Amino acid sequence: MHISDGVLPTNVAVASYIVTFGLAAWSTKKVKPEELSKIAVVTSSFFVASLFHVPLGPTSVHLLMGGLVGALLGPAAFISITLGIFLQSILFQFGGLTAVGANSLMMGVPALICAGLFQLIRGRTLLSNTIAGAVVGVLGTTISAIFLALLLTTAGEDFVGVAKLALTAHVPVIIIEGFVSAFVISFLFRVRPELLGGFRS
Amino acid sequence: MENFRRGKSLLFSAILFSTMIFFQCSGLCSIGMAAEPGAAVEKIPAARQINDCALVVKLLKKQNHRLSRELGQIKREIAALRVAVHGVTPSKIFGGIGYILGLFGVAAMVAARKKDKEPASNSSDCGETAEERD
Repeated sequence: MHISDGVLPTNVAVASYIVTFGLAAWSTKKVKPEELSKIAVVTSSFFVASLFHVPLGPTSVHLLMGGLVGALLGPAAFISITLGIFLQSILFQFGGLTAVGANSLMMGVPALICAGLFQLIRGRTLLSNTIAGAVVGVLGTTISAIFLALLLTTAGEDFVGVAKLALTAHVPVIIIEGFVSAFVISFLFRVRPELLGGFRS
Repeated sequence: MENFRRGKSLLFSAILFSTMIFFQCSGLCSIGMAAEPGAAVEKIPAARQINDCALVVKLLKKQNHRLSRELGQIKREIAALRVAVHGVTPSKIFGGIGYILGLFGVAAMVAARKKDKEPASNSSDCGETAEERD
């Protein structure tokens, strides 16, 4: 799920760059020094996860991890995703350099939404945490697909048509993402529960 | 003397004949030439002509095979280069991870320095060290 160079009109690309800069600055301010190592590891995982394409039927899918990054990092998820997308763009030409702003918004804003939602619904038990993980995994990808449709609407596409297409294409990813996020969150809850919370302070 | 002259004319005609054969063979075995009317051409044995043709075809086939193999090799090299320039390679993946860890390493260092400095400046004001306060 990447927008390529030249798809979006210039003003939308510039505007999304500006919003991305603003959100990235806010996100950087929210980073706690003791969390830097965790953010680095999650960012690396995010950067690598979308490189492994798994063939599935006629197409191939790859993890997006937006929801999981949000759940693990809280507000710092945005700077993490922006950095990952910037590196993917310059190293692998995933999306273009002019579309980094739009791509960061597309992946980062759902991650922020998921971050808030996860803290809201996670509860205290293993089961509730696992379900919350699955929910943010599913929602992260779904909201990203809707954002993709929104951004493409500015390029003159029909919103409902693109949204339908993007969501249908990502149904396998959404399902896999839900399972992976649920698994990771339940594992971390059992092994290291302190990694999952405490962003509100 | 008569014998010598006859020998000389024989030698001359032999040289002429062999030159004709040489020219006939050195050109790419053409069927049109063989069909041309002329005493010299008709004298070349048909078996030899067929042999030459087969030889030339064989050589051409060999050359063709070699060229197509080299072309295939070049095509494979171009595909590999394309992957190296635009595609996902392990070196790029590790490079990207290195960038991320390096950037966060610098951030951690800056944060740690800031943390070190703050208690020091406070302590100089209040006259106590960070350890004492803790």
